[in-house]
Amino acid sequence: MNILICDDESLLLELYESELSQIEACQIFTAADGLEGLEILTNNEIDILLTDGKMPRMDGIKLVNEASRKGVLPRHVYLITGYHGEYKDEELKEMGIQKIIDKPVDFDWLINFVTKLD
Amino acid sequence: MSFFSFDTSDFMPHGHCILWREEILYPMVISDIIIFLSYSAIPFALFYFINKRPDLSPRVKRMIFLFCIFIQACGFTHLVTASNYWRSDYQLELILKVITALVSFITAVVAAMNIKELISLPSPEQYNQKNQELIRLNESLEEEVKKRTQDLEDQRAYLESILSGVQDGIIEFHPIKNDTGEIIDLNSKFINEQVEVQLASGARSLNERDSLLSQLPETKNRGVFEIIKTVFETGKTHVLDPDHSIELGKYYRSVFSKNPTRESVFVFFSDVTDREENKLQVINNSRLSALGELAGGIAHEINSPLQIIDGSLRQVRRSIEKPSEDQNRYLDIIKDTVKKIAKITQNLRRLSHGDLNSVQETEVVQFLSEIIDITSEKLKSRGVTLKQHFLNQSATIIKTNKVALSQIIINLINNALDELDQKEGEKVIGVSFFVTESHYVIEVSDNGGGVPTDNIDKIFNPLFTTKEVGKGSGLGLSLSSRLATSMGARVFLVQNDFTRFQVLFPKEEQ
Repeated sequence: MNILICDDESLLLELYESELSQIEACQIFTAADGLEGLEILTNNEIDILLTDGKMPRMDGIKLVNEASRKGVLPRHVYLITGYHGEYKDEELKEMGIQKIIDKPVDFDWLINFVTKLD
Repeated sequence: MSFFSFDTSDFMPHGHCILWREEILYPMVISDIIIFLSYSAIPFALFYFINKRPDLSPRVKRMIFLFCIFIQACGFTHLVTASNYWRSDYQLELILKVITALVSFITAVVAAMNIKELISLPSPEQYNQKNQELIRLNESLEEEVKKRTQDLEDQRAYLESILSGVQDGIIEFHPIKNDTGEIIDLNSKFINEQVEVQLASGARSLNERDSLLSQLPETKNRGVFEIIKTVFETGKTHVLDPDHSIELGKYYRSVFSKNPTRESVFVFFSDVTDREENKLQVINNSRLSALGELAGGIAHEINSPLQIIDGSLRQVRRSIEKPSEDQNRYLDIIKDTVKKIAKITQNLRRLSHGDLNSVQETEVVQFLSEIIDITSEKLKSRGVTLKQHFLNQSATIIKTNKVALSQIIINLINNALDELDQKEGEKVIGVSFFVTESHYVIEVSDNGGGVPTDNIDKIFNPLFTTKEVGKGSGLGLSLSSRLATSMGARVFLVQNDFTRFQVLFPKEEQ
């Protein structure tokens, strides 16, 4: 299972990678912004996308929209964000984001959540 | 022998002079008698004339009177002349002739002296002419009066049609002055029916004719009285918009204008309370949305670092093989603190989204707990004990607008806090949720001084405040009340051992 994590906080990326790599048989990709993320999505078969909202160069919402336009949007898309004020939950769901996860996320919960996805 | 006392009885009667010739004697005698009778009748005619002409001047009257004596004297002279054909009473004839001569002389002199006035006496033709002229003048005057009356009638109808279209209430103020001529009060006269309409929805009304200051003392405090006085003195129109009357509980747009024809001032006023409250609402909404944006920004900025702390904490735990008791305790403290901060940012975030027009299903107790979390530090720092009463209601869900409701509750708590700041001894704020037969009730109570009876009617009025200058905007309770109304609820005050502000949600609207 291939997981792509996008976040502009490099420390956070490191922690996500460390935590999620405990899950068996999964490969973790990381990107510091939407543009990097889009490139990885284009060149790899990603199953799960976990992306931050606010990022430089290309934000999480734009990343989802672009990936969707290029037909490379993964089956599972989650927005992990500290604040998504300007978008309503329904709008985000229409874009293909299945769930909004509020930061700070509990890592045990996240590992458990991702493990259950197929 | 004096002049008039001679005896003529032995003289010859006058008949001898004409040799008693009957053809001369009788015509002479008859003519004299006719002259006497005629001369005697003339004074009667003249007296009648004077009587009927009260307009104659006394001088003319006197002259006519002289003429009467003169002509009567002439008459008597003729009578005596006639009798002296047979008798010889020449003494009487002499006396009469002398009298006649005197009177006729005086009459002639007086007539000469008054000839001008006599000439000016109008003739009947002249009278007629004048009369006709007068009649014509009278007719044209009547015509003119009729025309003017019609003009006035038209003017009145014109003004009335304008007045009927005016939506403003119009009151005319008449000054009441003291001995030195200074204006000390105002009398009011209601000019149109709109006065009642515009005042109708206010907290109370005005009475016509009564002293304005005794009815609305605030007129003086707010400077309106001074404005009216200035308009009196300068004649310049003054517009006051908004003109906020706390005592009437309304905002008005008032135009003060001096009456050009009388010593009075008109005030044209209309109720603009809705416009003003909407303005306040817009200000508050934009304040809320600015607050929301800020809260959202803070939440975002804090949550990512918080995530790093949390993640790092896990790494630390994993890297320590056998943590000591202290290490474990401190790691737990870090974890708990992270959770606490996360909860605060979560609440902030909740405050920031959502608009004021939608309603959401709200778990009331959970919701109230979140608000209490936000304010609890503030309460603690000001020495206030918070008591929560949510008896068995943890599962109750009601429809509210969360942003509006949180504004109301935070506002009520802040009001209670301000009130308790003035209190010595134990300070308690209670937040409760309970259900009555007809309502869901959220209550914020405090054991402060309460609301004075005089102010109970006014506390929900916009801009009413008892807080010290600069502290209260006076918007709190008014806006709370409006926010509550917008979601079908209302804010209500109950005072007993505690001051209790209740937000009542009718069950049937849920």
